Amino acid sequence: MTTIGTPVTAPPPPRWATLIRNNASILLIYGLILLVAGTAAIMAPNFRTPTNLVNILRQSIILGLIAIGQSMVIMTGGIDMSMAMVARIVALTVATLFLAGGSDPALIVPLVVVGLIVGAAFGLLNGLLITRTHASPFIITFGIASILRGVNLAISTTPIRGIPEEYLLVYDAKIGIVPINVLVMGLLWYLVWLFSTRARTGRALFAVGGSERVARLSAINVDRTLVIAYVFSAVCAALAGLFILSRTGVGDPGTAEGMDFQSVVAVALGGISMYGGKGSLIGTLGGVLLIAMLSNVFNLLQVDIYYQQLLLGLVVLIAVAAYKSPRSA
Amino acid sequence: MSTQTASRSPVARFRGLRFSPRVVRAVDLAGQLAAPIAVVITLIVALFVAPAFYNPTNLKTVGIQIAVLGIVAIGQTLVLLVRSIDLSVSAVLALGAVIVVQTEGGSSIIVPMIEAFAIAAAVGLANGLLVTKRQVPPFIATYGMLVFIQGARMAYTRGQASGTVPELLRAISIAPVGPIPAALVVWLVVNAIVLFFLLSTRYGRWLYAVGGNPPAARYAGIRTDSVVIAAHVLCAVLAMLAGLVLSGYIGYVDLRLGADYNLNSIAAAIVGGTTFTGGRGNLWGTAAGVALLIILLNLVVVIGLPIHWQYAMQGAVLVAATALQGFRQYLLSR
Amino acid sequence: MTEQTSLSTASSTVPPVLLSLNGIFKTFGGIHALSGVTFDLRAGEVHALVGENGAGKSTLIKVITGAYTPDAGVIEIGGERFAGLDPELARSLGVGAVYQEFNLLPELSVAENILLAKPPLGRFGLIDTAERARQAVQLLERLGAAGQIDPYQLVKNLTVGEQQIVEIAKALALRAHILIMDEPSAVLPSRDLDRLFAVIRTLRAEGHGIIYISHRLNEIFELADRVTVLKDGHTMATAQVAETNTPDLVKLMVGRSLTDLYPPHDAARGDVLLETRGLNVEDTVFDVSLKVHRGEVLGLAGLGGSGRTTVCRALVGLGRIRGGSVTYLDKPAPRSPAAAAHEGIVLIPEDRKAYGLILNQTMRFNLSLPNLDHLQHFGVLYPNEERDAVKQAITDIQIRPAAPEITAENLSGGNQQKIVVGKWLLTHPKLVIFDEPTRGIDVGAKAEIYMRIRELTRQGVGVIMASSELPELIGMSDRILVFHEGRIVGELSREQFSEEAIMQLATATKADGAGGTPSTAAPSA
Repeated sequence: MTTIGTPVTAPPPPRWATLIRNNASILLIYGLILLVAGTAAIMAPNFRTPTNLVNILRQSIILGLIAIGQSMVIMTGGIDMSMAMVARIVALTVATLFLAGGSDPALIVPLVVVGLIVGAAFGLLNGLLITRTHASPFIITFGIASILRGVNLAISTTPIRGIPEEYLLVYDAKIGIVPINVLVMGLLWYLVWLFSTRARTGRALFAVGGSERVARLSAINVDRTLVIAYVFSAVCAALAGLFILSRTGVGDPGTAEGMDFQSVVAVALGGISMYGGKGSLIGTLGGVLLIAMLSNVFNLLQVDIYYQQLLLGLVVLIAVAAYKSPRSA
Repeated sequence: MSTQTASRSPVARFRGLRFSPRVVRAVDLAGQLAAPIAVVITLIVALFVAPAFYNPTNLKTVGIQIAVLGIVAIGQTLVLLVRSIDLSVSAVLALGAVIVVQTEGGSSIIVPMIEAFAIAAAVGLANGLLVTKRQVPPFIATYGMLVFIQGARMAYTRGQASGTVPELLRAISIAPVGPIPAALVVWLVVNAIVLFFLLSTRYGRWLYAVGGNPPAARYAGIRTDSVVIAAHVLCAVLAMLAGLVLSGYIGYVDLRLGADYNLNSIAAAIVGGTTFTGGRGNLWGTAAGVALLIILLNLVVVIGLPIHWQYAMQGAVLVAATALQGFRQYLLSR
Repeated sequence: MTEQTSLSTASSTVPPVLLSLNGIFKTFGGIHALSGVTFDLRAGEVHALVGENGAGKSTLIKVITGAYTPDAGVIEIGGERFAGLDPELARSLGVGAVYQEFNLLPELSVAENILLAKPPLGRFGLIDTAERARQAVQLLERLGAAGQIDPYQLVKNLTVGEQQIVEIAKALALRAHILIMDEPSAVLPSRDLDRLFAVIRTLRAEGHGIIYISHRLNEIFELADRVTVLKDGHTMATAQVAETNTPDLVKLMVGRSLTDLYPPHDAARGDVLLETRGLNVEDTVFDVSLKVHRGEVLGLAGLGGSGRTTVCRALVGLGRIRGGSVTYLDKPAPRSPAAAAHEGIVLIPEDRKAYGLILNQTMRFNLSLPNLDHLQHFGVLYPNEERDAVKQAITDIQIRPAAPEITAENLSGGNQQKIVVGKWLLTHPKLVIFDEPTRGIDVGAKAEIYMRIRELTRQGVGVIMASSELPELIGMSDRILVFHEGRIVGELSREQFSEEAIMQLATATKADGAGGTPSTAAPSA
């Protein structure tokens, strides 16, 4: 080829334009939140009360815990459909142990640890199955969920009583009007966000989701990263189960029903690509808040329970239909 | 390998491990024949462990259940072939009974049947449109549809089940055709028709092409979106058919109907060799997968294990099948 | 320290040998990919590696990067001798590679990509993003690109040329001093080639050794110090670039001299098949007016991103037409690939693996796919008719091996391309559009495709050929349209064909060689 001139490049676009372009989905979800909140404030007068708003935040903790775990897994290009059943088995197991231990409050700390270990164990199982056999994460976790559903039924089909009173404080403890758990949750969101943006393992999750091949070539242990992701999500599920236990005060055999789907919806609404490698925890937070808000509004407006399901499904369908993710045509 | 002064770490020597071609071929073959072989083995084992399985009444039940799941699994296979998935089949299946049953006292059944299939086609169309025109990941789109349909059904029936099942449905379901129940005949006929489509028509080629490489199929002049949408419509319609057959068998409207058909139709297809990545799979494998799953689930009951073992069994088969398929594909791609 | 091999000259200022391969053998299931290959690389040199597809270049590269272990032979690198390497070891010994397919994460920033393997850590063991950006800029400076690439920019927003620089910076971050570049110019628009060559020269001056693989022999004469020719897994020769020339190299590669490659022009030109008037496509192609006649080959030249591929795709209905008209046989042209194929307009796309083939299906499946209409009655396929059609296609364009049941992914690039061409030829098209018809194909297959194109024109079929290979355009076209920034800037008739003429138009350079026009960064077509 003959030599040409000096290569000329266009001036880079202004910083704010790039910022908007790269964060479009986050702006969208928070815009939606403002929209719904605004409409709700008009249509349902008790929406605006501080108690109600705090309630929404507290309601969002459970979904938030599961969504955090789900985000990390979806970031790697996978998905975890077993989180609801892991939450349930942890709740039922801990409740059973409480009952067997005579509802002794001294058991609280050790049993919480036990709960987390149980969760981690199932996460390890998921992670190992997925990495050693290169099988689809969706189906593997779906199958594990089914197995766990059977096991959960074997544990109990009726609520398990025998939770020590002190444990209920986890849900109830407040500073003034603000529950402590909301504050703790806020801290947790921040820490996990920090992890996902500044820790090597957190970045490894993005890398693996973007391209396993490239991640491998950059000396990232892909298998180890994936296992960490699934252990993380299972521990989050365990935390959710423990939290639900504190809220209901009994070991409920229906714990967390349907929450795996809801968490995926929250993550999808928040702009994390279902294919992995792209997105932010900030978006997921938006998704969680939006769903919690919608639930709250439906209850306030006293929407028929059957119609609630219908509406949720409809909202989801509309949201994903409108949210066309920019994939190359 | 010549051994000159080589300074390679032991890890390096292990990393270069390559599965011998014979192992790869064996695993591939195992993947393709796993289901039929497993069926045979299970049947033989059942002879000794649970002879009550071969009781004619039980066999009839097994036959009908194979037929129902089989019809759903055929639809699921089609959808999997084009890199999609359908998690709303269980809801469509359950919907059928509700729609058809509303007629009381002898009015014509034809109209509700047409309604039922029309609704199923609409659901399939919606699924297909979401997946193709809006590029929603299939399991999200169809799971959302599942939630929506379940909600709609709950709202419509207000939690109450009522009405009797029309005679026609019993006719295509339990009525004996020679020694076997009608349901099995329906399943075999559907199998034959779809098999013919897949192997001997251009529509079948289009399916495999779109699943194998969607952009290349488009460049080759195939209307890829239409193919995917058609697969979804067929899947939903087949799920509706299965639901009608199932209602005919049960004889009344059961609101818990259909819960497991999602998982199991996917499991059966995967066990039978269909992949998630599209473009690979066939109906023989799916049929074998269906038989294996139903037989195993039935054995759980015959042996006397509590019902929740069924969940565990379903999950275990799914996990095992997927793990094996994933491993097989991984070996093939190296 | 470093053992001198027998390949070193007697001069006392000879630069050290960074890498030396001796007697390398590699066999795959009975096929000898490498037979006794020797190759060495010195510090501060650009050593070109040429050969047909299948000659063994990529196998050799994989041996050097440690992806493959040789069956026999010695690799001498970093002063030590090895029977074989593995990827980690090769990297630690300073081997880095830049391939056509980049190993970058588009959603992450430039700095993060460059230092992905070893980011600098700050407090609490968290990544220090500011320091990371600093180090990234340092590396980019060494490559002379610090002013042009923003370390915080996401890689997906960069041009291909910029991404390639990031890829090179990545290799440098891992302290590579043996750099392998696999067809780096194949993915670049011509205006970025200068920058690439400048980067390579900088690296050479720093003392790195660069292995440069390319099909474009003129680049090698411009850039390389030595050249090694591989053929069928053997080292045919290693020579100083100054002491050889293109015809000699080609003879070593194929044993066929250059001019035989293009069949003579003997087709008569007929009437207009397709005409566009003022065509605007997407936001990148403007006011394109062209005509294609029966029996002619219309060449489309231009730098990458000039709009040729966009136009080709638009002619079969892919991509949005925002203005202007396309008429085909005096009617409005079809607006979808399916309709276009029905009317006899077909496209052989640029990327055959992504858009041309269903890789996990057989040759037969692929060949018959666009032809199913003619092989069926009432939707049902007729196997006998299919078998005959497939056989015809195989002999028509010499697909090897002639085994229809082989899966497409197991064929060589040249034969894969033949399947793409063959399947469309079966439809008896009237207008065939080729986009980079012989990219990544060995010389033998190229010649066969050129012959087939000539056959088509003799039969009165119109051909549009978009290509980046100027010799191919000059050898095959009857007329050439030159594109620049999405517009047609010139038309050349056969008498006017020359590489300089095409290049001048393509870069909008004046005849006295004045610089190019300032351009808005056009996305690659």
